[in-house]
Amino acid sequence: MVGSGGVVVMDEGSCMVDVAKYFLNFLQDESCGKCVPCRLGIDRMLEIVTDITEGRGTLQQLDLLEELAETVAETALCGLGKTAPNPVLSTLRYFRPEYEVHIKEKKCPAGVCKAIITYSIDPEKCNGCGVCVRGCVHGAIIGEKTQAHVINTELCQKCGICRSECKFDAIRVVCENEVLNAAICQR
Amino acid sequence: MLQYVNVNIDGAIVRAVKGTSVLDTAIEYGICIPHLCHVPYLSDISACRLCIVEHVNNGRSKITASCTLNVEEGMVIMTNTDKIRKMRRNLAELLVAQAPNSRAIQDIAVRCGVKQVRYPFRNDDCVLCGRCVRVCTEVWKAQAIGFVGRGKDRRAEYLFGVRPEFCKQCGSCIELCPMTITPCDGPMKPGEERLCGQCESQLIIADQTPGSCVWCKLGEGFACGRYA
Ligand code: SF4
Ligand code: SF4
Ligand code: SF4
Ligand code: SF4
Ligand code: SF4
Ligand code: FES
Repeated sequence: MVGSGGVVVMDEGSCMVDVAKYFLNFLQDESCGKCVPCRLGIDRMLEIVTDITEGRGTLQQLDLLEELAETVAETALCGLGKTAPNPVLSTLRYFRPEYEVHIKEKKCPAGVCKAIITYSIDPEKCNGCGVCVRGCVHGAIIGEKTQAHVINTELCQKCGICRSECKFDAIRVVCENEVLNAAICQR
Repeated sequence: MLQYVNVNIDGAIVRAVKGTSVLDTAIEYGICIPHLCHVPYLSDISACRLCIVEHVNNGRSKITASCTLNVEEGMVIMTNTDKIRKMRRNLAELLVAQAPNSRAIQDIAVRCGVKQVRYPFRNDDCVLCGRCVRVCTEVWKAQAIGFVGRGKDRRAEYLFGVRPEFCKQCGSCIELCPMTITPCDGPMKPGEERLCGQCESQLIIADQTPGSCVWCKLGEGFACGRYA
């Protein structure tokens, strides 16, 4: 699915919309900018995918994305432009529901798209060891020793460090609007 | 002596001068293939991709730009299939969304069937058609302007950012630039860009006979083969 013939292995922790965004970003840097479909097409595809990962996407945009990707694939001047829409086309073909969840429910099932997820601490699991407090470089976690800690969502930059530090699996990723019903969209 | 080849364009068998492009041949016979970066007396760079056609070869059709496709004996070309029209419309939509502040770009979008722009407008002042660069280099041999940067940073500019002494001030770059033809109501303010629907007559022609030339402003302003 990647233009250069490389194979990328992904697990359920990867968000397909984010993957498409990643490749578009990369391809935008590779485009020479000579022809319209590649230069403007990649830019607009990236714009739409970014909207979707940030919870602003619409279903009309999804159709537009598909139409645009097909146009770029057929009309670009060189091989780079002709293969540039492949990440979009193949993720759309095989993971369309994932795009739709981002759009309709503003959720990132894999918990990757930062704009539509929130980190929080499960008070049941947290034993107040304080490891995460030292891990968080943004000073977003507060709490008394041995008491359940909390994350200040204003300060949290969603880097995920705390999550990998916590030995008790107390830090969870929840989607916006779904903070209370965390189980649904946890990884 | 000129040599000729027979080419099938949209079902019409036409006689074309060997060595010319499909685009030039079609225009000569009054078949309109919209084009932006092509200028009759300059080299072609295949940048705008509006001139795409389907080239049918051994039962397989391939989409390619007609300005850089040379005629060959027995060639079968379709300039106006549903697929071509759709792709061309999408490309024109990209262009007009990027640079709505030009009557030429607005007209060509209408010509290509754009009725609605589905992207947020930007207010760019260059579509990188390269007309200025080529006229300066090829006709005036001045090389005062060129492309700098790549990808989305690519732009047409004086070579060192200021007008060099060897610019002949001929004005050709400005004359050929589609961005110098302002919309009828004057330039649109940033944030107020829209698809210009003023030219109703053109819209109707483009609607009813999608394959024919609507004598768009683009052509009148600067050397569409039709006006040349
Ligand atoms: S398709 Fe090729 S020629 Fe066109 S902008 Fe992309 S890299 Fe350049
Ligand atoms: S590391 Fe885990 S258990 Fe320890 S305070 Fe932080 S959230 Fe609670
Ligand atoms: S995700 Fe990063 S910024 Fe947010 S609380 Fe955890 S360590 Fe701090
Ligand atoms: S005015 Fe100067 S820059 Fe423009 S085409 Fe003439 S020589 Fe080139
Ligand atoms: S400045 Fe005008 S003529 Fe030159 S590349 Fe840009 S749009 Fe084309
Ligand atoms: S006229 Fe052929 S690509 Fe622009």
